[in-house]
Amino acid sequence: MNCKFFGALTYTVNLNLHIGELAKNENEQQLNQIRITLLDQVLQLINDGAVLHSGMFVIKKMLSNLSLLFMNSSRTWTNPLLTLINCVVLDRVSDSNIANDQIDKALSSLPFSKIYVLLIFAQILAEELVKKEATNVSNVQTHNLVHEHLFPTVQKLMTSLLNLSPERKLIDTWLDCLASWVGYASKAEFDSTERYDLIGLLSICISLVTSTDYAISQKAIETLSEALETNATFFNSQLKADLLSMLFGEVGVQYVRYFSSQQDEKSVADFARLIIAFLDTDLNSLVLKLNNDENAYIFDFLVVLTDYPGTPIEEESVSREFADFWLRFADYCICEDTTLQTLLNDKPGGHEALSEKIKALFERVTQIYWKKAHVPEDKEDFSQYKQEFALYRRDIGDLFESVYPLVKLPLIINLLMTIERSIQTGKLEDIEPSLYLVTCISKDFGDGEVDPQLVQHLSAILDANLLPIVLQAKTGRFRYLVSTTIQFFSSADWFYKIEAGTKYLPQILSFLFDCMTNTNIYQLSSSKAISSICSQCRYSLIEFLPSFETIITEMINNTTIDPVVRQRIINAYASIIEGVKDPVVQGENLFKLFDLLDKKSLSVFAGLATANAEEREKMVDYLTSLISSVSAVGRGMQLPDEVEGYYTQDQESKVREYWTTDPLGIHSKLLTIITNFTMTNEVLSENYQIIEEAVNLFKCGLTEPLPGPFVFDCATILQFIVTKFNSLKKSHAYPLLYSLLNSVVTAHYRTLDLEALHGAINTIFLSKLPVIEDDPDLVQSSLNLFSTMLTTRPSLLLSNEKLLMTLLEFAFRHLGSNERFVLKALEKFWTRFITLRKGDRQDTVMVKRLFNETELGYVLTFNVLKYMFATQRSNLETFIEIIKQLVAKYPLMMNKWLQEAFPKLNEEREKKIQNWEIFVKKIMLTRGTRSANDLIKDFWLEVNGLINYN
Amino acid sequence: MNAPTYYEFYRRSTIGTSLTDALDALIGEQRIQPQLAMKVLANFDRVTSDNLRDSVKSKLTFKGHLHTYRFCDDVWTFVIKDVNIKFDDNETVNVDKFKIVACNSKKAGEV
Repeated sequence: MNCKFFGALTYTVNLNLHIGELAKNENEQQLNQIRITLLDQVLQLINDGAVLHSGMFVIKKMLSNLSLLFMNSSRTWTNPLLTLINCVVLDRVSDSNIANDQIDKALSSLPFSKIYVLLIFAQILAEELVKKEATNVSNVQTHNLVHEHLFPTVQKLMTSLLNLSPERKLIDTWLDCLASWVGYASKAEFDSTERYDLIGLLSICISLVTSTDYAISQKAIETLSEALETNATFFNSQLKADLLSMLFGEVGVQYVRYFSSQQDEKSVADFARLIIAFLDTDLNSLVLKLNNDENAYIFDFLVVLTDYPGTPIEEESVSREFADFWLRFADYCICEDTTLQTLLNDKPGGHEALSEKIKALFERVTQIYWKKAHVPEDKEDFSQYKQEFALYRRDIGDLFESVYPLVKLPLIINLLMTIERSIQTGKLEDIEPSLYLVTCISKDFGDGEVDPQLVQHLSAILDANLLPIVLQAKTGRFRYLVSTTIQFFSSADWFYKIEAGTKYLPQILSFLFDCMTNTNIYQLSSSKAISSICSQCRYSLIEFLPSFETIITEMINNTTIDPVVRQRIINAYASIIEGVKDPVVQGENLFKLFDLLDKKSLSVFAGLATANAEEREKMVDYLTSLISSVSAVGRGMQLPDEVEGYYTQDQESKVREYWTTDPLGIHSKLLTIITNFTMTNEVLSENYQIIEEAVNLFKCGLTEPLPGPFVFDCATILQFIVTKFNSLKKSHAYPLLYSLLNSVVTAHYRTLDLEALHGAINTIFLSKLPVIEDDPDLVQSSLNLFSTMLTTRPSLLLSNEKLLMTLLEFAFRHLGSNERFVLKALEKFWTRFITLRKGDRQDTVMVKRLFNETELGYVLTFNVLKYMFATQRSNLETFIEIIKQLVAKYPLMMNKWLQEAFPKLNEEREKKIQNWEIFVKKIMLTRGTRSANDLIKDFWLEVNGLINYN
Repeated sequence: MNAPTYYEFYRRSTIGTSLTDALDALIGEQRIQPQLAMKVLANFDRVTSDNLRDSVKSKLTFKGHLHTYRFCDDVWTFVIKDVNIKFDDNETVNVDKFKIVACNSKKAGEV
């Protein structure tokens, strides 16, 4: 049998290899001969009992070969199915065809095994036609021929066949064949103007759902679902009405009942999928059905199905199928509300009644999903589907969020009341899902959209000791309760921001601190919640600053605390300090905090030199966390809003005065900390993370509109950059310092002292050029720095001729880089340099003279072209942008530069560039507009012998 | 859904551009024909699209200020400012500008 299969496969390979040649008109005779041979071979195979019994794969391969032949000779061979039927009936290859209306008679003379082969051929033909390449003229012709000749035969074959009371296997294949033809018909309708009438076949398929053989019924359901999902327009109103009465009538009920009793949940889920695919085709009519009580049975059935018994995911997936559907339905009701209102205009009170019905329906649905959202008890097998269950619950959460605008307040109040009742009755398992769903609904509540009832119920829950109860129940089966509670309180800022909620802040924070300190599991989530609450409610927490001091001391002194937790809590503390608004109190608290951090770090520094490698690693991690905490304070101390309106005039002048005089020397304290961490200690001074945190610390104050603890003058920052640069033995941290200088330029370009800036650039760029050239990261970060100068104040760069000349040469050299990020940085640099948008008159004159009076323009054009033709397609955009800017800004000169550059380029190239003269003319006509993109790309493709894939 | 053709926009992703570069190199070395490269990219379009639809379960939510929206040639474009994006694992990202370009997963003519 394998031998036969290889024979069939050899036909396939050769057909694929030569079909293009054979399909030509002059080879028609040869093609005809091949067809006869193939048909003869197929006949031999289907007359061989052994092949029919166990070698169907060989026959299928041969039928696939016939399909291939048909698709390439459809003009001369219009109906391969009819040909095969005729051959099978005559038992020999014949050129003549029988008529479609003789198929009935022909089939009645054939055994089922041969009819089966014919049906398989019909299916293979459809599948091969779908596989055929994208739309083109010959495809349209094929679609026309298939619709005119082949499809009527297929239709006739399929309808006649079922009159012969076939066995299950044949009906199975019949359904597969229908699915394939639905797929093909959909494609053909898309690619051509042909329209298919599948109503007859689909009607038969619907009738098969009622088959007494449940296996057939199941298969028919799958086929119908697929057909609806593929193209619902094949179903006319009559078919839809038939489907409706079948799905929601006795047949549907019997079907669900039968498979539920067999505990065959999969079949019920397939049935649910069909219902959903059907309802999805017309949600509008479904909504309107709600208004008629006669249709109540439809919704009752849907609700009962949604409430399919069993643990979700593990035992049932029906409710999961429906979760998505209900979400779409809810969205439809919300989005199309105006349409529904218009449709019900003629019925007074119709829209209101419908809204009530929608609300009532979703109340029932949400009740079911609330029940389903209970996390199953932690049995061994739960871990296997835990992840999937989490996704299922997330979908339920989304459903509740979507349903909320329809059911409104009662939805969330019900959940809160359930929690209240559960606390009273001790039925703790109901708290977690309720709180989870409340979180999903309320997480995006904005200021001012909170109903007093909601606040009242949440307060009642907290008064009923929810938090102590959760803390006690944090082990075993209730462990999800703690994380859900933390999650809820981390997103409930709508509650704390109003007066009634503020008074609960102490107990909530206390709960979160308990969760954070007592077990490791909740450390990260609870610290995040604390940080978020302290940032959002900083003004309400000022009175608790003294209580925070003990916690902060513990956070700093306890070396075992997770660094992220330490930073978050210190950041939270800094947010509250910032909220004080009184610089004197701020200063005192910050001084104590920095003093503590400084002393603690000094004590660790002392032990660094003598520690063994393992201890030293731990110490460095701890020290990194301490310096990160300092920059976390910096972030926390940033003003939360625009300065205008944040401080009164009096407060603002106090802030200015305090931080300018800095009576407690906080600036110098911070500088000492930075120096200790980054300069004096050999172990730490090359540490990337520590330098990064020091850089972050400086950056915190750069964007601040008022003086503050982290606001340093530019000279201090420049001095740090230069000193640190000189002290570094390795270059890995250079990009950090470039980035800091970049931020300084962005923030202070108007007031920057040119001499100091050029001094710094001399140190970090000019004196280190050989090192920078070798490292693409350094090339990128230095170019970004210079691009920022050109973007903000070009004279920062243009006023230093030596720097400019060195930089231009540097930027030429790296056009040949293979790194995309370097090329992107170059694109930014060169386009900024050419356009010079922020340049004053002097800058503009200078750059124009450089282009017009020196070789700069020609050299740049030459290099851009040279490297562009050698670069990858994905880097092309970089070069295109530079060329476009040159054409736009220097049109006359660019023509000349291009005329000179191409011949020179051809001298260097082995494979000469042809037709460049036409390209130059065309590119000049674009005037650097977007149309240049395709032009340059096409020329690049031509030069490189490549094609446009789009 | 039986989509006859697939969108080509995933070709502009990092993996798509890398694949295109690799195909260019193979054509340049005359190891494959351009037609095969096109076939590979058509497969890439299909597989990427199908997998993103069928295998990716992640979701994200975002909140911000809608700055611009338009619907042209069956393509929705939204530009949202000051956006807070929340991922499935509760991680959040804040961005100044967020652009959404959404194309119809069912192409014209399909239902």
